[in-house]
Amino acid sequence: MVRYFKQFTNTFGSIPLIVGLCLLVYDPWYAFLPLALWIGWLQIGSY
Amino acid sequence: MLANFAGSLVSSFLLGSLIGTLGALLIGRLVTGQLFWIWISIAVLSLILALREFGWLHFPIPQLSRQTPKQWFDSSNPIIVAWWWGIDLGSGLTTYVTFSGYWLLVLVAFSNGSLLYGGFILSFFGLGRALAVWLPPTITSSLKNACYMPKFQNVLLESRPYLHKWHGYGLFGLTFALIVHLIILR
Repeated sequence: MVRYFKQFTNTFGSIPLIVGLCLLVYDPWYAFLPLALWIGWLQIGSY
Repeated sequence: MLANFAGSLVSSFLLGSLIGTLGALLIGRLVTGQLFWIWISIAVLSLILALREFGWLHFPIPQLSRQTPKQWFDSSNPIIVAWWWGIDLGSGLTTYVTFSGYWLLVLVAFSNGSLLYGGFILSFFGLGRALAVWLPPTITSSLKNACYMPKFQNVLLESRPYLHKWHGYGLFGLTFALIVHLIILR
């Protein structure tokens, strides 16, 4: 189950991170919106 | 769950708007020269926080040492409980700050100095956090086996060091991308 959770996190959780990092090079203000989603999603580790 | 999403979005938007307004009052609109130093500061802070996530640096981050009271579960109305749960967790400020990148978002919202931008950026955080609350019970209930929920909670506990490392890699990436942006800007 740990393996599946990691796969899920790697696959879907990485999307806002990758979008954010790509946008960061062009316009950091917009980039922080998907990055905020990614940081919010990471809070799954606080339960 | 909709009540939880709504509560999370409302509290995060209100806090973000407040931070954006404070930024507008205290530093006003940034010009290009100042912006350069803001991005440098955020890149340096991101690097320091990444080192902390990997356990190479040890220092406390500002946070309220409290959790959402479990007594709220005893309330008779689950919709109201979900709403207040969302309000409490959504802003990210009234409970433990587990992942330090949260403070980057606060700094960015403050630096932008816009009520709307500040509200939006923390709303995205609140949305991500509400998704994190919604997902585990949804997955486990779809498995039609109640005993999966405690197992899933154990999975989350076991995965915490992994998530911290993942957060650290993301913050390293953030630092690198900001440096590339600053080089292009120059």
